[in-house]
Amino acid sequence: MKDNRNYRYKLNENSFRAEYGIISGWIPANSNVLDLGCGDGSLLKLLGGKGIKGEGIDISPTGIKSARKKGIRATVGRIDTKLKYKKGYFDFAICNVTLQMVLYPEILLDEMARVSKQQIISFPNFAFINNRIELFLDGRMPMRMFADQKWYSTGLIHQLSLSDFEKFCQVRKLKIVNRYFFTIQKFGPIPEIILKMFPKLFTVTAIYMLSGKK
Amino acid sequence: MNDNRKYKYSTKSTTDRPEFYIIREWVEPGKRIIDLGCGDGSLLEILKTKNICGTGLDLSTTAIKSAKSKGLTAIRKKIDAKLPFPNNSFDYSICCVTLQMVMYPEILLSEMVRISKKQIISFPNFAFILNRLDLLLNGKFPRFMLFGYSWYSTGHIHQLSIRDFELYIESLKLKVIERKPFIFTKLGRIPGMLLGANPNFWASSVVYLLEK
Repeated sequence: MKDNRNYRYKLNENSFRAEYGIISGWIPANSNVLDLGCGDGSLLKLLGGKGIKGEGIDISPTGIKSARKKGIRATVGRIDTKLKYKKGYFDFAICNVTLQMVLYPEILLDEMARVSKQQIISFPNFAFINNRIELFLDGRMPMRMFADQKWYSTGLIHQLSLSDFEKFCQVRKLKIVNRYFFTIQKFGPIPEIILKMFPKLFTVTAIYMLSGKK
Repeated sequence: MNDNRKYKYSTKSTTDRPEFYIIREWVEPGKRIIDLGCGDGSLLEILKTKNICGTGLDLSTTAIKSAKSKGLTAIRKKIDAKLPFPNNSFDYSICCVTLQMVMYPEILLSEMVRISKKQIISFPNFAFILNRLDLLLNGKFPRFMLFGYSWYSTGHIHQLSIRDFELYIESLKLKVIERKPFIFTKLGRIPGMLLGANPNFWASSVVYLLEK
């Protein structure tokens, strides 16, 4: 069974995720970025092609090895702890679908806001309609979004919804400057235009851009 | 802010939970037990009144200090990893409301099964009615089981429902000898028999006694 608590990568691994396109569209060329939870470095490599310089941190030694093989500057380390960079050192700090996998998400977010001018964060929406139905009707920890994982073997240890995240930003005075929601394309007979009107229900993955402390 | 990811206990700390009394009823005097995630040792202390001597394991240094100051045997150790005890070293292994707080719950369970004849496990039921409604209607990560913590600050990192647990132990071929679901309230415990046929819906907590 797949166990994403071990974060193992192959040396020649290449990832592609739908978020990459949005993220690379939001970052201007020549920016200086930090990718927290960079995995095999695929996102940084893609950004590099656009003239965006950057470095990555990941807890997985195999991830870092694979990223370095791609020519990416990357170090092994925890991301939900005090980071070694000065205030405002980066133009952007990115954390792509990793916020829900750390023990101290609030430290990660605070540190991102400290070391960069703008922050890009994405995560799976725990309050996605199917999750709501699964808990309500089946009485199970929602796992259908992650069919290859079980409640006990998942690395998703601090899951959250759009409401949870936006409330957090409000309390911590983090300003949301941009949002993009990947909504489900089909839900019964409901047309996509309606699905897009209810992002809290129909978003699978959300991407936010913040501009540090208000 | 309270942060139960750090597991800090004062030396004089004592805990009182309704599960403790259910567990005391189940364990016979003179049996060898181990308490995994023993915290400040309060459960072991309650079991002592029934002449049951046990060992406690916990990750928290301050918890071990507090347990030792009560005169208990306690060792600082990760509980969701290979344990340093031979097969069937204990009559009972106990894990009281800690299963949902470890990174490798399946290793914890398999080690409990290996080192003891019977297992006692309790946890908050993620599918408790208020949790279901919080996610369904408010679209929030359910907060009722987090007792004042929020989605990001909770130490509950692998939450599960009664149904999740029962499907899992069935796959491990473990036998349920006893099951006590209840609702944890400020006024005390509402016993399971008032909860009707579907504890996964009504119960906020549950205690199991299992056998291989």
